[in-house]
Amino acid sequence: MSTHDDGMDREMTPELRSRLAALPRERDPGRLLEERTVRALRQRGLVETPVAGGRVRRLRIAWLGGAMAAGIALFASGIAVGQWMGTRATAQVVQAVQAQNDRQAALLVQQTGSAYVDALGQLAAMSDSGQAAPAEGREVATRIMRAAADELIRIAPDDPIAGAVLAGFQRADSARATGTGQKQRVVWF
Amino acid sequence: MRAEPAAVPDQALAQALLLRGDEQAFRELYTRHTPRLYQLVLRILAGAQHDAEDVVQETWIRATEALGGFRWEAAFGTWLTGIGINVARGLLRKQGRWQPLDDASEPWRPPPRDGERIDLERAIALLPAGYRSVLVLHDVEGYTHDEIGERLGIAPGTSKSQLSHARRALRRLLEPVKEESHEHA
Repeated sequence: MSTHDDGMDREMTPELRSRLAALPRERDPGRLLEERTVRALRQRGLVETPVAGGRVRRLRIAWLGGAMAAGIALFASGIAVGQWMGTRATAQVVQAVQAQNDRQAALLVQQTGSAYVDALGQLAAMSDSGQAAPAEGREVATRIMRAAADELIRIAPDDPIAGAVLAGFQRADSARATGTGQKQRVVWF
Repeated sequence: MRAEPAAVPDQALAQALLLRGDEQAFRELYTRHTPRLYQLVLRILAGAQHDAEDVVQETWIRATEALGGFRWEAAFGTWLTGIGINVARGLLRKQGRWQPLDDASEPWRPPPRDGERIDLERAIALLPAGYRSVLVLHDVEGYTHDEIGERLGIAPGTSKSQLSHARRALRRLLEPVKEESHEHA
């Protein structure tokens, strides 16, 4: 293409030339024609239908719907996770309190048991030093041991040691009741 | 100020379309070149919009099919326009509106009008298809007679004479009716 290259300007007035030059060179045919043309090319296999993500325009409505659904799902799962976390935290606290109680109970048993054994040790020391062991102290020690065995058998009914201790107490009770207690001397500890 | 990203060359887009059938590449080419193609064929077809749309669609189909054979010795837009002119000419011929262009035929004279003034686009549309095509390609689009001869399958000399007739007819169409009636009297 070039500028006007002919010498036949007799038919052209300057006004007509400028009017022709001022005519628009482009016109938008509208989007429908583009879509129609793309469809025709697709039907002939000349263009490929883009894969997901390649065409934003065509997937815009589906994308918006999906985004809304994803948002709702995220919100709901957030609530569920929050609730689960809350429940989990509560369970952990209960477990921790329970564990703390167990530990505290065991510690209490150990402390009082040690005090009990210490007291019996002092009672035995008095006996070893030639002093007569106080009968009252020995009786109290025996009752406490029996009460301890009763509680222990409640905690663990099959515990052999607690069972044996209680069986010894029952035999002593029976002997006392039959009057043979004087002849049999049972040494408990 | 942020610099505009460099536009992908037509050839790269055409390669993507040819090798992968890349729809986005096609749409980019379409967006770049269709407005000019559409305006040109719309003028050649005397403002018949539906026909012009059909021609544009058919032009893109033919161009995409023939893309592998395009040697890039001319600009893509020029090549595409050439196809568009051929398709438009084929449609006019099919409709019986394309008369063979030759120097021997009698010059066409516009029929008398009853007092209406018409604008330039309307006057161009009233020209016979052959005159109109030569005039649009030369005086509006800036093609040379050699290029027009190649596009329309005529000799450059025929293009010149057709242009001369077309301009004269156009002036008559645009002249005030009073003068027209004097000349005919």
